[in-house]
Amino acid sequence: MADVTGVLDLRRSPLADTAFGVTSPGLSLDELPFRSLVEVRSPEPPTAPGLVWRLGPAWWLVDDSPTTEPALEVPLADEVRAANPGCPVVDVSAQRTTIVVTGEHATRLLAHGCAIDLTVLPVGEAVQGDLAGAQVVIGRTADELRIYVRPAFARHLAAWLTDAALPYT
Amino acid sequence: MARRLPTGGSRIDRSRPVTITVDGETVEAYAGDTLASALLAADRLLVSRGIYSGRPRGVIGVGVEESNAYVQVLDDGHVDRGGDQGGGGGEPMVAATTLEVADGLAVERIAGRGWLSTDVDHRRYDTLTTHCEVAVVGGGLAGLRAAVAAQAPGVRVLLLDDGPVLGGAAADLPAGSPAGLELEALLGELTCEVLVRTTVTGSHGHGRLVAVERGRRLHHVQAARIVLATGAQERPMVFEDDDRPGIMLACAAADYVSRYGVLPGERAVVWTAHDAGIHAALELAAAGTELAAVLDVRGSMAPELAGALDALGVPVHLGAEVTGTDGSDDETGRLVRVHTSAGSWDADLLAVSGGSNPAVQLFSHPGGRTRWSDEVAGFVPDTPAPGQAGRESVVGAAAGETATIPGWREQLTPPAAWFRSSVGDPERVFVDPHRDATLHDLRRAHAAGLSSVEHVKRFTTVGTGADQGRGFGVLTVGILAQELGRPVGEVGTTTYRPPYLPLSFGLLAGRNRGVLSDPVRVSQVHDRVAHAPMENVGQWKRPWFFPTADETGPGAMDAAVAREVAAVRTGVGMMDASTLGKILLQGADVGVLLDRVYTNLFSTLKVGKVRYGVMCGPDGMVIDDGTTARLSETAWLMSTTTGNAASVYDALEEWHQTEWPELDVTITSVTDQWSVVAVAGPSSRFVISALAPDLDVSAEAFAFMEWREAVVAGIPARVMRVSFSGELAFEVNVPSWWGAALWDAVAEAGEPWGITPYGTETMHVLRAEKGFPIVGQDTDGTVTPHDLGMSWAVSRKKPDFIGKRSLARDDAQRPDRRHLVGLVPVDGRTRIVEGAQLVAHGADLTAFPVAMAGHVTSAYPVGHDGQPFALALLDGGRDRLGEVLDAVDDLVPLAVRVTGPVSYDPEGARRDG
Amino acid sequence: MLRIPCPHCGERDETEFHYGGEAGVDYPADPSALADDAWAAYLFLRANPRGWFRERWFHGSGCRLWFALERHTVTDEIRSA
Repeated sequence: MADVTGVLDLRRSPLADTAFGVTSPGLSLDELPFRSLVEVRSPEPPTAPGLVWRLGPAWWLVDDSPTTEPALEVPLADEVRAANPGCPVVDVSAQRTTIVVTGEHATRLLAHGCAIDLTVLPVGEAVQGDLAGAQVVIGRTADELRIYVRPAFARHLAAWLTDAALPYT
Repeated sequence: MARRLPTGGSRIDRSRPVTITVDGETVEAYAGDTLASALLAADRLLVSRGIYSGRPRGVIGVGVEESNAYVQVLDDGHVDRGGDQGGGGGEPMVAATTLEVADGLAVERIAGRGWLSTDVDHRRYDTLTTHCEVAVVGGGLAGLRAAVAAQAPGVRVLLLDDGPVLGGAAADLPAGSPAGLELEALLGELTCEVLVRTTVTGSHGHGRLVAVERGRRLHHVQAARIVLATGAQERPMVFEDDDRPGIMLACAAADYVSRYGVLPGERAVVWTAHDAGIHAALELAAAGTELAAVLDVRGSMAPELAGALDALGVPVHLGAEVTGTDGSDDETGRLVRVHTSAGSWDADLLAVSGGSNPAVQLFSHPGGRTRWSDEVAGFVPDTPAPGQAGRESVVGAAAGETATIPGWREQLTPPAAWFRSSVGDPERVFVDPHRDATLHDLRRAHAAGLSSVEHVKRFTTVGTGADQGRGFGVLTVGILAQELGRPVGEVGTTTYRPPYLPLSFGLLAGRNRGVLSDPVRVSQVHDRVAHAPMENVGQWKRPWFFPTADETGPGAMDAAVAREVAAVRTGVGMMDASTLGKILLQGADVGVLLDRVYTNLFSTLKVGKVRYGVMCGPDGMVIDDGTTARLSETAWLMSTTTGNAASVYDALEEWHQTEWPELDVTITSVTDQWSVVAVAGPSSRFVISALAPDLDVSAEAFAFMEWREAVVAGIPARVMRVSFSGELAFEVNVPSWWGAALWDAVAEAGEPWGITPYGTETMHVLRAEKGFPIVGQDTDGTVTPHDLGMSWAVSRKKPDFIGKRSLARDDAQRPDRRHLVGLVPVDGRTRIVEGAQLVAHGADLTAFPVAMAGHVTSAYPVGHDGQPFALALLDGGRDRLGEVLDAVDDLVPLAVRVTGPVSYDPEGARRDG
Repeated sequence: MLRIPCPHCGERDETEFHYGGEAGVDYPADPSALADDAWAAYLFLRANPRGWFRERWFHGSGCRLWFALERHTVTDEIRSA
C-alpha cells in the first residue's frame, strides 16, 4: 500500500462536518473519532490495552487509540486475539463512534434521555441501554462519560445532545 | 384591586406588581398570585360558564380541587433560558387556582370547554429521570417530617411539592405559631433535593412516579421507597343553585385571605359539616368579613368555637342546612341572598365545607384500596397495592390524620358525613358543575337501573372533566349512596387512574419532536446521496431515486427509475447498500446453528463462498432472507434485510441462548461496521477492475456467490459477487468510515462507463423482474418458502430446521395455497395498483361479498419491456398461469394476466455479465 | 412502567426488554415425531394464568441476556424464578 496516510485521511467519522461539539465550563461534548474498538467474549476480563468495559456476562468492549495503518481489521483485534487465546474477538471500530461528555452537568445531561441511574455508575464500569432512542454503551472514566453509539444513530444523538445541553451552556 | 386587603398574603410579593390580560382587559396582580386570586382581588367573579347550561360560574376552590374556574391560556408569559420562546401555543382548560400569574399572561374565559391551538408550540418541554432511595410526595409538615427523617448518608431523598414553597398550610401561618416554628426547624434540617411547583401526576407501580414541573418538565422518578404526604382536599356540599359566583369552599375562602391577602366576601353565610369550616369562618371574620350566620349540619358545637362566634355576635344554627340561593340580575349572576332551613340572609359569599377528602389518588393508582372512615368522614387508604407493600407509606392528612398541623383548624368535634340538602329542584342541584351534571342526572341514572359508581360516572359524565372529580367526586359517591340507600363505603369511589392532573401532549413529547421525534438512521455514504428524495425504511433514510435536472414534476420518479433500470440492465449502476443488516457469527458450531435457522444447508459452505438462505419461524412462515458468507473455518458473515436486521439478530440470540446453549457460537451485530456500495450491470466488471487492479474479476477466477479480499481504490475491502438484480454485480464492503470515500471512488472509476446511481425504487424493479420477493412486502407472515416458489431453498435432507415440522402439515402442502406469481395488464399499458384485490374476471363488484383470490404485493409502472408489471399472491397461482383476473382497486377492476414471477432472464444467463 | 430485574444489569425499565412469553416451553427434541396437534400445542398454546406466571424476558437494549422471572399477572409484582 503506497500511500498509507492518504488512505487513512480518506476516512470520515460520523460526526465530521456536523459542527458537533459543546464547550462550556460545566459541560463539554466532543466526538472522539476512529477509536480502535474490539468486542471480546471471555468469562474473565480480557488482557488488553486501553479501556476495557464489561458489556454483559462474558462480553467486553476494548477501547484503544486509533489505528495508524489502513486494514480490513484494526491491529488491536489481532493483538487482543493473541493475548486472549480462544476468546472470540471482533473488530467493531467502525461499528461505533465515541462521544465524550465532561463537566459537572455530564451525568444530569444524559438523565434527560436515559432512564438508567448513571449517578451510581462507578469509574471503570459501563452500562448498555437506550439514550434518546439510540442503543448505546455508556462508560465512566475518572473524569468523563464515554458514549459509544452506532454511526447510523450518531447524528441523531449528537443533535439530541446538543439540544439537551442548551440549558447547561 | 377592590378586594385586596391592605396587608397580609403569605404568597404574594406586593413589591412586584404583575399585569395580566383577561379577555383583552388588563388586570393588576402581584407576583405570587394565582389567576384565581388576582381575579377575586379585582372583584371579577364571573370566571366561566356551564358547558351546557351557560350558567355563570366563579371560583370555588384554591387549588387542584377547583371545578369551575378553568380558562383558556392564550400566552403563559413564560420565557426562560434554554431555547424556550414562551408564549404562543396556548393551553386549554387550565385551572385558574393553580395558574401562577406572570407579566404577559393572557387568558380567555371559556364555557367549560377550551380549544386546541393551531399555532406551533414554541415552548421548550423536556424530560428528566431521577433515581432516589426515598421520594416524598407533598412538602407540607407531614412530608417535611418524612423527608428529614429519611435523610441519611447515601440515601438520596427527593421531596416534591406542587406549591411554590414548602410548608403547605404551615407556610401560610405566622412564623411564631407552633406550626410556623416547626416549619422553620424542619426547613433548617432539610438537605435533600427539593422540587417545588412539581405535581406528581401518577404512581405507576414498581416505584415509578411521574411528575410535572411548571408544565414544562416531565420527571420520571424511580424510587426505592415512596412516602405519600399528599394532604387532603376540601369537600363541597350541594343544594339548589349551588353554583353561583360567590359560593366557595369555606377553607378555600379563608386561604385566599392568608395566602393572597384577598377578602372573598363582605358579608358571608358559612355552612359546614366539620370544625375546619368554623375555623375558616372565624378567619374570614378576623379579616373583615361580616358573618351573617354560621350553619352546622351537626347538632352540637365545641364550646371554644361556639364561644368565639358568640363573642363576634354571629348567629349560629345547628342542624341547619342551605336550601337555595338568589343571584344578581346582571350577567355575573353573583350571589345576593342565601336561603336556609334557619332563615334567609343577604350575602355576597356563601362559604361551605362538607368535610375533607384525603388525597388518596396516588395511593390508588397502582392498585391501593381505600375504605370509608366514619371518623374522618372520608375515604382513607386501606390496603396498598400488593407491589407497593413495604415500599410505600401514607402520612399526614392523606392518611386521614386530623392533627398534622399543630394549632391549626383543630378538629374538636367529629365531622359529619353530609352530602346534600334534602330539598330543592334536582335540575338546579349541581353535583359536578364542571360537567354541568345535576342531581336530576344522577336520579336518571339510578332510574335507568345503574347502581355501580363506575356506570353512573359514564352515564352522567360526573367526574370526567378536566378536574376528574377532585372537587365533587367523593360528594357524588355520597349522594349516590343516599339515593341508593346504601352505605357510602359500600358504593365506593370510581377507580383513580393517572394522570392526576391533565398532561399536555407537548409535555409528553418533550424534546422528542421535529427531527428528534424518532431517531433518523443514515449510512456513512449518506452525504453523497443526500440530494436524492429519501424513502423511509424503518428508521433509515435511503435514497429512493436520483432525478436528473430534466426529471421534474409528477413523472420524475417514473422517468428516473426507467433510466436507472436501463443503466443497470445495459451498462452499470451503483447503489448504497450499507443499510442491510450484517451479523458476524463466530465459533466451531456456526454451521450447525445456520443449518437449523435456515431452510437450506449451510454447514457445507466452503470458505470464500456465499450462499443465499431463507429463514422461517417455527410456524413455517418466511421471516427473512439474505446471503451468508463463510469468512473462515469459524467466522461467518450473515446479511439480513434492512428492516429485519434487529429481529434476526435477536432471534439468533434467542435460539442460541435458550435452546442450544451448548453450541460454540457468538453473535455480534456489525451492521454499522461496514459500508457497502453495490456495483451492478454488465459493465460492473470493468469498474471493479479499474478500482482493484490486483483483483482478478474474471468469471472464472471470481465466480458468482464468492467473496474476495481486495484493495479497492486504495481502501481495504471485501468484495462479494452477489446480485439482487440478476445482473453481474459486485458488493464492495469497507469499514464504514471509508463509505463516502468508496462512493466517490466508484463514481469516478465508473464515469467512463456512464455509471448511474440508483435508489431503492430501481432496486425493487430490478429484483421484481427476477421474481425475488421482499420479505414483509411480498410476504405477510402467512407465506411459506414453497408458496414463494423457493422449494429449491428448502432442504429435504436435513433432519430438522426451524419451520420444517410446520411445512409438513397438510395445510402447508395444499395445492391451492396462495402462491407468488407475476401479473401484467391485459391492455399492456395500465398500471397495476399495489394492494389491489384479485377477483374473477368480470366479477360483479356490487354483489358482496366478492370472492377474493389474492392481492397485488408489488407493482411497477414499467419493466424492461416497457410495460407495467406486478407481483401478487394468488390462490393456487402456479397452476393458473395465463388466466385473466381482475385486479380491483377502489372498486375499479383492471384485467390482468397471470404470469410466472420471473419476467426477466429466467435462465439466469446475465449474472456473469 | 415495569421495572425488570436483569440478572446482569440489575433493575431496568421495561422498555429495554423484549417479552418472551411463557418460560419452560422447550423446542421439541424431534419435531417430526410429533402429531399435528402436539406440534400445534408447542407452537400456539401457552398458559395464561391469573396470578403468578413464569415468563421469559430478553434484555435487548442491555446485555442481551435471556432470563426467566415470575410475574403476577394481576398485580405485576415480580420475583425471581
